[in-house]
Amino acid sequence: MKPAAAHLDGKFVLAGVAGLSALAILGLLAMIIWMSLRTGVPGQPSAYTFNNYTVLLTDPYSLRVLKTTLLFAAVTIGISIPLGFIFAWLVERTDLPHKALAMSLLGIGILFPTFLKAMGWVFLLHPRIGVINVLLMPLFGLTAAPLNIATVAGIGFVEGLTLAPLAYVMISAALRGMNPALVEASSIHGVSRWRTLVRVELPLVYPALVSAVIWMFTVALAAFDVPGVIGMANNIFTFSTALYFMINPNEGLPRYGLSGAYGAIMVAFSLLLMLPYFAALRQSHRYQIISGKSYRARVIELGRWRTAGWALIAAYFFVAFVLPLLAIFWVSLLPFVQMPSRRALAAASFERYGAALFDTALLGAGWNTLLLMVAVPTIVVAASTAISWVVTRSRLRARIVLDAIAFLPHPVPHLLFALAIAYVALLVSDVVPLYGSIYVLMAVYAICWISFGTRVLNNSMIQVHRELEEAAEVGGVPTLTILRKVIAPLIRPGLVYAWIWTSLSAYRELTMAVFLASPRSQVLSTYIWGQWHGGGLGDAAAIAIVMMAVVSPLVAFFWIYARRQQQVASPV
Amino acid sequence: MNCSRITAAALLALALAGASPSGAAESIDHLVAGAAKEGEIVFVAGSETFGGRKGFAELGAAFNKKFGLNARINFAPGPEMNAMAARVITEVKSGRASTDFYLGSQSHYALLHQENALENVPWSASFPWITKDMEVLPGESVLVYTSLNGIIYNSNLIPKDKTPKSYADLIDPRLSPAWAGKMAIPPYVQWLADLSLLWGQEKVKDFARKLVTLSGGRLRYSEEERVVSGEFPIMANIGGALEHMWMWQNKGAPLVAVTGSSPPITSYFQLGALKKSAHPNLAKLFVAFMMSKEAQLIIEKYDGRTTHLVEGTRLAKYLAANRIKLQPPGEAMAAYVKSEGGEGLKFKEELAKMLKQ
Repeated sequence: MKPAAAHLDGKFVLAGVAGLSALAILGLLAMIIWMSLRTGVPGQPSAYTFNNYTVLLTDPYSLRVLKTTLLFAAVTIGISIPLGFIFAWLVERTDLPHKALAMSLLGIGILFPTFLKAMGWVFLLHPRIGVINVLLMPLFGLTAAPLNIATVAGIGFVEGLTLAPLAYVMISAALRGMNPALVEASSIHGVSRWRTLVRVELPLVYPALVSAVIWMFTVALAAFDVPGVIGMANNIFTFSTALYFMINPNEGLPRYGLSGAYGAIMVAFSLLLMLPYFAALRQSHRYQIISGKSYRARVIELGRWRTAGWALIAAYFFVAFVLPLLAIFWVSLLPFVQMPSRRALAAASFERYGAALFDTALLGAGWNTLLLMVAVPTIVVAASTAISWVVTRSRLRARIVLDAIAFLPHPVPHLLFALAIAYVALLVSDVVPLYGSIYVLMAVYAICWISFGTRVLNNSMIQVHRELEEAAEVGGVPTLTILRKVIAPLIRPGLVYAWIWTSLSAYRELTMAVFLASPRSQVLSTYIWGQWHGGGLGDAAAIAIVMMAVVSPLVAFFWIYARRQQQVASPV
Repeated sequence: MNCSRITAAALLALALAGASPSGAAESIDHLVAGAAKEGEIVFVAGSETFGGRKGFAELGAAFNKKFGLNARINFAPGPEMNAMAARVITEVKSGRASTDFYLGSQSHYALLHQENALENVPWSASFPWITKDMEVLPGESVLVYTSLNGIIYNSNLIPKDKTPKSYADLIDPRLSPAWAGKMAIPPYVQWLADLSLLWGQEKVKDFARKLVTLSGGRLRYSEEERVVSGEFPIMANIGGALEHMWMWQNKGAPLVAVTGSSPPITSYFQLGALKKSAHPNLAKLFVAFMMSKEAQLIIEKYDGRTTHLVEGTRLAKYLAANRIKLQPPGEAMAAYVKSEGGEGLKFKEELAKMLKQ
């Protein structure tokens, strides 16, 4: 039998890792507040002041940014939630054929970077260079482009379209867990399908809808990719892009203090939004199946509407994924952006792809991306395991607080964590040369995605009965060994799922990376962003295509694995 | 804030008037020996700078050949000049610059000088091919290319009878309907401040107000491909307008440039080694190399831009052929600094507010 100290040591290690993670989260949030009370650049002496808040609140530009952000978020929600609901309803509540294929088509969209799709939409729906507009105008004898992506509504449309699969995932989980007895009762009493949907099913998934709406709102609040790619050149600024220009100004020095004030207000706003979010989640159990019986609701027969259901899903996949990809591919072949024509086709070549193969900076960015795709999920899974163990297994009073802290990066826009860690790295750069290194990106990704890791692993660990480890404890097995040999094998699907999802997130992340990447720590997403932002549209398009091709096998593997595990890719 | 900027501007003007490099001249051999140990150099700038990856591959090879080195030249696409200047200053103050040398024009270099971010190098004393007039900020920066500002437009999208011949045409009600709501304007104020030296401040303010009303977006100076593509049919001003036209017309693109004023607004783009650089010897050697005739020819080949001070470059020939005389770079720098003080600063702040709308 091992001494009691061994048990204690293991528990201390887990509690220590969990505590350090929580400290890192709180520390970065505190840094944002601290930044907001200072002026000048990091490392320079500064008196404490509320001047940044005064400047922010009295500048008409801030009001304009606020209005734009709210409108952008409203359109994003208006597109993503209805689409997500329809897809979820078709997959979960109807007899739509080939559901696995439908789920895969919707899922693939989540896993490919949003900013690449946004690039494609510029070439599709811009009023002057959008292929669709150029085709529609002569077709209907129009003198002006009928559609315009270069507006707040257009940007919201693209964001909403890319977030629809995420809304689908969130709502479908609720539809699956919905109490079918009420729907059955409605059907028995002769209520029409439509009335049942509106009067029974919609109220039943109401909490899931509310939480999905709030989640989409926080995503829109922080989204950099679509507003950055489409909005910036068209003088449309949301919170995230306005913040970007405070740190990377067109003229003068970076305004860290002002960006801190922006950040502090965003943090407060995001945390306020969490109140209705949690209220909705608390209500959700009232609508779930509580019967122990294997009781499944009868699915709705679509009849001739089956084709229409599939047409909608196929059209979504084509419009949201295939079309932007084709547009990027076309641009990548040309010496400069041109409409499809014989002349343009004659000028097309794979020259940019050949050049990309010998681009050492691009290879370096690829290597850094790979490093993040391995290291970040490993750190996230390790830290989340420790936190989830403390939350679900220990009797510590602080475990509820720890869980709440681990959840904090979920509502708070991730770019604020990036901003805070950049500030810290600059402050300590004389002592520790962290600024601009890949480790800064690694740290901030890990901190931000702990919230996701702990949600997955909390759920997994709760399902493992304590008696197994209690038996091992009685046998004198140390805590870490119990975790490794008893709990880990039982929660393996959750661990692998969290690892792969985080790995793919590291691959597609742009918002945080764009604030932190330096020449030493370029990743593929920032490399493409640099090309796009620097005016190299064709090069950006070619590298984007290469990036998608390289990562496709991993995406396919992830999707097959997730399907096999019967776990749906929900971030909450 | 204003007071400190005015003081700094005055100090810079004084420095420009009577400055002589304080750093001692280092021999090229000494620099080469130091550079050999450093092994690599990092340069962060806009993705298409000096021809981007292709240009840098050739520049790197020629540089290594000239000095008998085997250094790796790491060109990393990064933020454009303004954002990069802000970043460099923050980094130098905090301990380590992420780029070894910097590319920027008068406004950026004035800021870098003011923030003491530039390494002192007696360029013309150390490198025989660098003349004194190439040193824009004596002992700090050298002129790598001269850039004539102007309007660019897509000739497929602007009707021939509506093409602008000058900046004033941009707001002419007879012509402007052709680009109203579709014109890109740069998010910078410096070209407008330069224009005020010809037009006066009030006229420029009126011009800027009308320009903002007619604009449909903001493009930075590296984004001319968005005019080539037709996303914006016209851009009110861009640095290196002629060079952009030459480069894109070579690819068959419908881009036309017009210098919007006479004399043309000119930007003097400079290179300088940074303090807290990780590779100081290579930085100095590479900056000096960029002023050589062989480097200028490579830059001309890939980027279309050159300094008019190196004999035989396209711009030198163009200026001679068109009998255009430019203000000496050092004088232009001093004029810029003057515009940074007092009324000039207030004027720029007013313009910045207008452009933010």
